[in-house]
Parts: sequence; structure tokens; C-alpha cells
Amino acid sequence: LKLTDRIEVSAEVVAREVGDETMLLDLASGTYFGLDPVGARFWQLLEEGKTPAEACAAMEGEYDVAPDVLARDLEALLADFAANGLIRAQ
Amino acid sequence: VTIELRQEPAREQADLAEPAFASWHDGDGETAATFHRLPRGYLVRFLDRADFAILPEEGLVTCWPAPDTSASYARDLYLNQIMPIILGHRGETVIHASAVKIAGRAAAFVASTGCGKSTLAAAFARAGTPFLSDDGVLLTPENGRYLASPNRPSFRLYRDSQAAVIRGEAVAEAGEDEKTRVAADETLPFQNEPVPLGAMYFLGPGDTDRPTITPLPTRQALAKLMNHSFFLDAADRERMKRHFEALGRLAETVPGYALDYPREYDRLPCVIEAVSLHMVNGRGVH
Repeated sequence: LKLTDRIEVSAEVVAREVGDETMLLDLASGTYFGLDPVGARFWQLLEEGKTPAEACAAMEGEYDVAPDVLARDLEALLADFAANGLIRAQ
Repeated sequence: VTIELRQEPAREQADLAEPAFASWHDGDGETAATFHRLPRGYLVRFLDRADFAILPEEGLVTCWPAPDTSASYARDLYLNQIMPIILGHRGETVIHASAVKIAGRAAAFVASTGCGKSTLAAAFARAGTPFLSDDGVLLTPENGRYLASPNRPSFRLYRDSQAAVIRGEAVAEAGEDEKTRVAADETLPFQNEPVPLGAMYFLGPGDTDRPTITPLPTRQALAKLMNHSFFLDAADRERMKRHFEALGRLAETVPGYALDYPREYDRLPCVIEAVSLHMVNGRGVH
């Protein structure tokens, strides 16, 4: 998956903030995933319907990080989400 | 909670038409119970022990013990497993834990079956600390905290745990015989009123030579609570979401700690001292 791909967030995933982290619960598999604040923000934007590229662009303005580093990290995260069935390519 | 229990005569556990949609495993990874759907409810099968048909809407439970299961054992299963499951289904929070009262607050010891939570609570009680439960604790949110309700005034313990903890006899190591009940008395004080929950201690595997207590991140506490709380049907998405939310609030409200200690009877006094100090001082012991 690339950040330029269009994806769909699984309707079976529930997110909950706990402390400074976010837990995702996949109702379909009963599996949990912990996200740090950056991962949680990315997930939130995807859940709101932003494309990965739009989410990445929005986050560039929010974090003090080089755009290419952010893009690489988010792409890896996107692959993780997909591998765990939390999102799928449209 | 009004639930009617119907006791049917013992019967063999014939194969069930519906495959299991969930199962419970004991500490050795063996299947202990399987969950099956019925047209208007669920059937929970404790292998070679008893079948329970649960009709949640009707508030009706029917029990068929297996031929070699005593009435008291079937009743234990009903009170310790089926009731908490039904409470969980109705939106209550019941965690798989023993609990004792230290300095006016409940300390819950959360763990799977066979990990020592009953033995630990019994050791506390024998040392004069009142216990609230040996197996399941109902937690009710109230004014920004959680009240831990007392459960049954007895312990289910292996015979060697009873010998070592209750009677103070020298026992080399835990055996795998059948558990029996030991009732509360003046030497095993019972706390029969709810108390605020002060801390949740999640028991580790015992790979340590001394007691350790370390704070658990909220996220990890939530994941553990999901694994150690009573809930009937994970495929019931709306209930599951509410359950996740309720446990999230609990994990945020009550501090969680990883507690590990060597599983040796003669080391239990050290564990009691460490946990008591921790509850009183509210800080980790390393």
C-alpha cells in the first residue's frame, strides 16, 4: 500500500483513547492494537474519511518532522493496519 | 438481578449441533469450556462437568450436570462462572480476580484460573486481612470510583494450598488435585460490605525470585482486563463496544500494576508485606 492509495477503514474496529495512547479493538477477531499518539492521530484522520495522503498532509503541519520521514513512517503504519485487517485497499 | 436456575437430572454430554463460537482454556491450555449458540440464547459446556443453557432475555438458566458431577460442583459453576457471564451480558463489569481489603480499599488480584489468585487471597485472609472474593469481583462505578462487591464467603483451594496456607503445614509444591471449598470463619475474615477498589494487580507467571510490583500502562491494563473479564458473546458488536468502553473507563480510573512473585508457599508472607505496603503508600515496590 502507498499513501496515494485509497483505503477503507474496517467498520469492525473500535478505537478508544487510554492515557496518552489509543487502543484499537478489532471486533471481528477480538484482537487489540496499541497506537502511540502519532499512530492514533493517523488512525483518527483515516476514520474521518481522509485518504492516507490527505492525512499525511494534515499531519505535516502538526508535527515537527521532516515530510519524507513522516511519509515513510505513515506508509509503514498503513501496511501494518492492512496486514492486521484494520483497513483494506478500495 | 433475577435469574431462575432450573436443575435437570444428570446427562451424558452428547455432541452438540452447533459448533463452539468461543472457548475457555485452563492454565495448561486445555479446553475447559465451550460456548454454543441456541435459537434464543446460549449453551455453555464445561467439559465433563455440566451444560448450562442460558436464555438471557428470559433470565432463565437450565443446568444439566454430567453424570459424575456433584450438585455442589454444578452450583459452584453456576455461581462462579455462569452468573458473572450473565452479569457481563447485562452490561455489568465482573473481573476474574480475587480481592482483599487493605487500608479501607480493595486490592484485586487479576489472573486466569490456576495462577494463584485464590491462594494469595487466602494467605492474606489467614494473616487477618478480610477477603471479598476468591474468583470474581463485581465492580460498580459510583461517584468517579469503583465499588468492589463481596462475592461468596469461601475459598476454592487445592488440598495442598489449604494445608500450606490455612493450616500452616510444610508443603513442597502445589499439586493438581481437585479443589474444595473452605468457608470464611474467624481465622479467615470475610468483608461483607462493598469497598472502593484501590488497585488492580495483574499476576505474572512467577518467574522471579522476589515480589515485584510495577505500574502497568493504562493500555496494557485495558488489554488484560479484556482478557480477564466476564463477557458472553464477542460477536455481539454493540455489547462488545460497550464492554470495551466500560473497561477503558475502569483502566483509566483505577491504577493497574503487574505483580509477580515466586509461587512458593513460604514466600507468601513477603508478597503480603509488599502488597500491603504498596496499597498503603501507593507506590511501587521493586
